[in-house]
Amino acid sequence: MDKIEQLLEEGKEIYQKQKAPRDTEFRLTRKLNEIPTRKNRKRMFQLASVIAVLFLSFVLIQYPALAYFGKKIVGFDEVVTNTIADLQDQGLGQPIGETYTFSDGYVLTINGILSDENQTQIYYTLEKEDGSKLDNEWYEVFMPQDIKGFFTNNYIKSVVSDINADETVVKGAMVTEQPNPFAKKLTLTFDEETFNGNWNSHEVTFPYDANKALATSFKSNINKEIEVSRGTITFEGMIATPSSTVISGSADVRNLSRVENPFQGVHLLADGEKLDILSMGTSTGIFGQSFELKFDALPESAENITLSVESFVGYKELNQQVALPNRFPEEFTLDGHQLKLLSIEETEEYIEMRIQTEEDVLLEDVTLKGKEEVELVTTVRQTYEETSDGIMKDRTLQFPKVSSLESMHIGGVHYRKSYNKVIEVLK
Amino acid sequence: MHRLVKKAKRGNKRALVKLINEERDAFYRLAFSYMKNEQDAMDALENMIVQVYQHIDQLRQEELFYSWSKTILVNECKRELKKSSREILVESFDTPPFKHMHSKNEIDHADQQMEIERLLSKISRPQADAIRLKYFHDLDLATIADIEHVPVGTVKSRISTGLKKLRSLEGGEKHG
Repeated sequence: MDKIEQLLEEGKEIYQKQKAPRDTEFRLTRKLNEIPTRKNRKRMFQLASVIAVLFLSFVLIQYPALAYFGKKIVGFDEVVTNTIADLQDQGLGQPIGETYTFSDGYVLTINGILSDENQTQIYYTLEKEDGSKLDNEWYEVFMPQDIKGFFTNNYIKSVVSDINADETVVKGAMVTEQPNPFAKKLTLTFDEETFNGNWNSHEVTFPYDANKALATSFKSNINKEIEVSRGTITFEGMIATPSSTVISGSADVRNLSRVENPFQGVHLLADGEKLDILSMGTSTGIFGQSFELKFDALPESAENITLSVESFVGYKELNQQVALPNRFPEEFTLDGHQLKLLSIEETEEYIEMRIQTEEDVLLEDVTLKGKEEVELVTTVRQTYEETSDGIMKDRTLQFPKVSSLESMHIGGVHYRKSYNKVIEVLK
Repeated sequence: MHRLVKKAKRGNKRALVKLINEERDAFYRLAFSYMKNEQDAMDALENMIVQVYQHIDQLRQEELFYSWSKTILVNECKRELKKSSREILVESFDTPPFKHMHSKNEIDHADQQMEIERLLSKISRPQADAIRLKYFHDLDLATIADIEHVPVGTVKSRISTGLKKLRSLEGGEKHG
């Protein structure tokens, strides 16, 4: 092996040490769930021809609003929001009680379904026939895939589950989209990973009654825009159901992904009270970034509904020149944001500058000036530290080597900016 | 694997996630080597899985699933790099729940800055890319040819010319 082959071999070894982030599977699943499930072309054709006939009969269907039924869905308080637990207490939703025995004495029970326009939850119980303790890998025994039925083919978007202290019973809620109102039966497909690594697919069919779905309280068009530093957020509409409230819209913002969870500073208020946020998601489509923010249900008495954009990703152009100090640490202010220079060191390859800022501050277009000007290569060793000023982000910027180092140039800064803008949704 | 690919072809999302997840480190390394930071590498991976899902019925030979999807990944990376070359992005950030683990990876990667990367930066970009894909990511010549949109013969000559240059650079530096 010559020197180059040896270096290539070493290079490969270093590459092999790199591991994908632990949430990779989660992120890929979430991304795929943003796009529609692919269907067979032949089937799509059939669908199109039947839909035309069905439209006529749609107007005849009425959902009885919030009808009461004798049986209740009980025992899922740990895996649902208080609002949904209250709805179940009132006897809403459809109790089912279909059981299915499989594999090594496992019993799956579909306990019930609570469905509305914003979300559909299917409640289930997993236990052993003889009531014994579940295996350690119980979560691999039941991996729900999708719900199929008449004009229904919905992917399971997420599952929340909880195991009891004895480790004998798992109770869970699967989240999916609302089935077609004409579906009378639904089939859940789930995969089981057996202990020798094989895969089994199972199907459980249970009755569905669209009359027990919850009616939408109301829908409202918002269609209002909010200007932010590098673009516009458009709030398009709101759908309120007894279980949740969904705000949808689009964002044409160039630096949207430069802070984490840009929408965390957006709140929905009913008569001045903030509603709990249940989920927030963005997806990239043909028309730019669209978003969906899911909040708790509106209180029945709510009269005044507002959306408040307290903060969102912002950008400030700086073009600031900073003379490099001889002593460390040294603090600078970048348009009100603190920048702490912790050290500057020369390694064999790079000039390494360790800096600290608030958690949500990201510098853009950073260069070092010495005999010549050099651009940043990469950022490494990022850590977070909780201080009395909030969470601070510490990282090391690597630059190519340059002699007679004088100053640093910072083009601009991305940060979580206060906007405090309010939109009236309903008055 | 064949069974999972068949399932994915029928539109089963879970099967596709499982397929990619089984080779997730290899996919991640490949994306990282182009994007140079975790955030953008993960974005590329996300875009790849959407492309793969939407076009998997065009994949005729199931055994080629991994090399086919890696081709798509590199295309996504290149598209993203082209797009962002207008905007200079200087920092990257991690996703919070796993950030400590992530930065550890980046430390490992950065602390051992490679002699070979320094040499690779001195030869032509297509030659360096072909060498990286073959030696660091274990891709076969046909896959590299697909990724680079060139015939297999061109890949071969890029690699051999590149290696020759690397050898002369290495030797030259030693003596000079």
